Amino acid sequence: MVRYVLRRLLFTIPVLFGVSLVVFLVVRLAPGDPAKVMAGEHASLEFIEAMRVRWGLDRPLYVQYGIWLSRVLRGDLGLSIATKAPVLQEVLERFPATLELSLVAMVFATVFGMAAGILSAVRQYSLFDYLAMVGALIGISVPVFWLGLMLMLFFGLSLDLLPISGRLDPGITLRTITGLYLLDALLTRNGKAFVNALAHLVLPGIALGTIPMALIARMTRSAMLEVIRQDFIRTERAKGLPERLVIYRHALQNALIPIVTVIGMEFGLLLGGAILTETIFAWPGLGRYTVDAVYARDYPAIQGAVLFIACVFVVVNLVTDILYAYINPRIRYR
Amino acid sequence: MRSIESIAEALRLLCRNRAALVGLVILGVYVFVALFPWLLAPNDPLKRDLALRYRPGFWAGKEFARFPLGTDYLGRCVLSRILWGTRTSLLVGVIAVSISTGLGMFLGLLSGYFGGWVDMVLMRVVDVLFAFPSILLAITIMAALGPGLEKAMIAIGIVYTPQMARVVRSVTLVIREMEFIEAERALGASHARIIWYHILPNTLPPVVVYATLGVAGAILDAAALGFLGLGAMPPAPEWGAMLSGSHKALTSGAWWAVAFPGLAIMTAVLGLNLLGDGMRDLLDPRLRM
Repeated sequence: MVRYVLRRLLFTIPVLFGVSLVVFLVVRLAPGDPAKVMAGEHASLEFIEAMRVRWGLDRPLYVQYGIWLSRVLRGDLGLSIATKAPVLQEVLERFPATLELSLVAMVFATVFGMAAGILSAVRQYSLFDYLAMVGALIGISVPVFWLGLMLMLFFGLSLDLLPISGRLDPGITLRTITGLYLLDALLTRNGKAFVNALAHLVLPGIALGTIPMALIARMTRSAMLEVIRQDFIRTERAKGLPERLVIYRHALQNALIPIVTVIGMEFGLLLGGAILTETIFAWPGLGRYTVDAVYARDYPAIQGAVLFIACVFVVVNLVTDILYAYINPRIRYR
Repeated sequence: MRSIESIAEALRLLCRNRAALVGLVILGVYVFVALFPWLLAPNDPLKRDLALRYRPGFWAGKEFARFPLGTDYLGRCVLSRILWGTRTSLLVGVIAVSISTGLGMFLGLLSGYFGGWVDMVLMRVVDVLFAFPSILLAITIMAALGPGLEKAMIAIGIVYTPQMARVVRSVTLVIREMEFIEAERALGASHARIIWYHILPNTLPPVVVYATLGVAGAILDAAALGFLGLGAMPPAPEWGAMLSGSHKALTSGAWWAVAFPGLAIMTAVLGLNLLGDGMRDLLDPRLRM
């Protein structure tokens, strides 16, 4: 197991190098003088020259990459054109918002997706199975931003049940410790803020969680069906074990391997979906930051945010792979 | 002649799968609309009239039948824009997937057939592209290229290339080891000949499945880029772009300007997913979901 983890870690290094190269090249592919691109459209001539010197933009391309990478590795992602603040600081400030939203969406997707998948498999070809699978198919076909808008329309505007933008109402105060508002509210025993933060999470959480929920439901169903047909399940039933135990203890445990993989993969993909969800619900996270940076042609911010999200994505995939190997020993010896 | 028969056979099998048949019908309707939007659209999709902005559609009464699905913030006919937008969205999907299929097959065949360092290098490139969530990669490429529909096609084409390359590579790895390939080699066939005449045709079935599902994903991503204002440029009718500025429509109570373009996207993607799933079941019943 240790050897597998080490090997998997080593594989990650060239991928991260590749990612950094792609992010580096984005600025070079952008039209115009790279020093001007990095300094912003309205920068003074001196500032543009300062950028040229700072990032070595008059040197050959591979030297530029070297300079850039060595700065990035030391945590220097440059200054945002829009705010003049260090990009790393801005990215770190916004990350907890995205993390909290993604975690809530994932919990929602896992609980409802697995429940629907198990029930569908146990009652294969029943009305529930049929409806759940049609629902799942619609779920994977719906544009996430449109779903967000529709939720906003029904529950936010028409029924006026739930807040449709931001993380907290303006009147609510909360001392931030981790940046995850639910956790902070618990830590500071602030019940009012907890309820308010949770209410703000409902609609974006559902919007973001629906596609993963549909995929988890489909995967759970097919994995369960495969296990239920196997001989050992027939043996369990033959020896008189209650159906509940057969399904939840024996069948589900064996079906978990592919389900965990899908959950891990989906969690990484949520980071992508968050870009659109955050834009709709004015969620002050990394996704919205990235989109705003693209609008403003704030290339240092684009680079920093994309690099950060891609690294998180790689780490999530790494953890998924290791978890997969842990619960499925066969994979380790390949 | 044989290939026509086998296509007919495949279609017959596909039609027995009810879900795939529904998908095929939905797709057929969309293709028809994309080919002949002027036959169906009641109004000019670009004609604006600010006096008619945010008018509701047929549900509001007979006098509103002129704009069956209402009008948008510039008083343009929502239905006509959706119908004309079908052309754009299907075209983006098909062109983007053609790019990814061409590139992906090329890389996958090379990688799988030759193995060794070619495989090593190409698959590391694929790994790197897989390290980005797809819409993030598309947005990043758009940030470099600048907005526009053609650029969106290229960006989405690149985004879907790694997936196709992996699929083709895995099939190639299996076919390469088969005896008939060895026989060809013994007969003195060149690498190019073996790849073109013997390996490539065998990779086509999974490629068709993934391309179909890929068009669904590409339409969603193109709509997302349009929604963000990075894809199709106004005033061109495009489903995603019709949804950018939805906040204003929603707060004005004009739900129809938001609901219907989204339904059009969802139905198209649903049809392609149904068809793709059906074809996958046909090719490999073990993968049935």
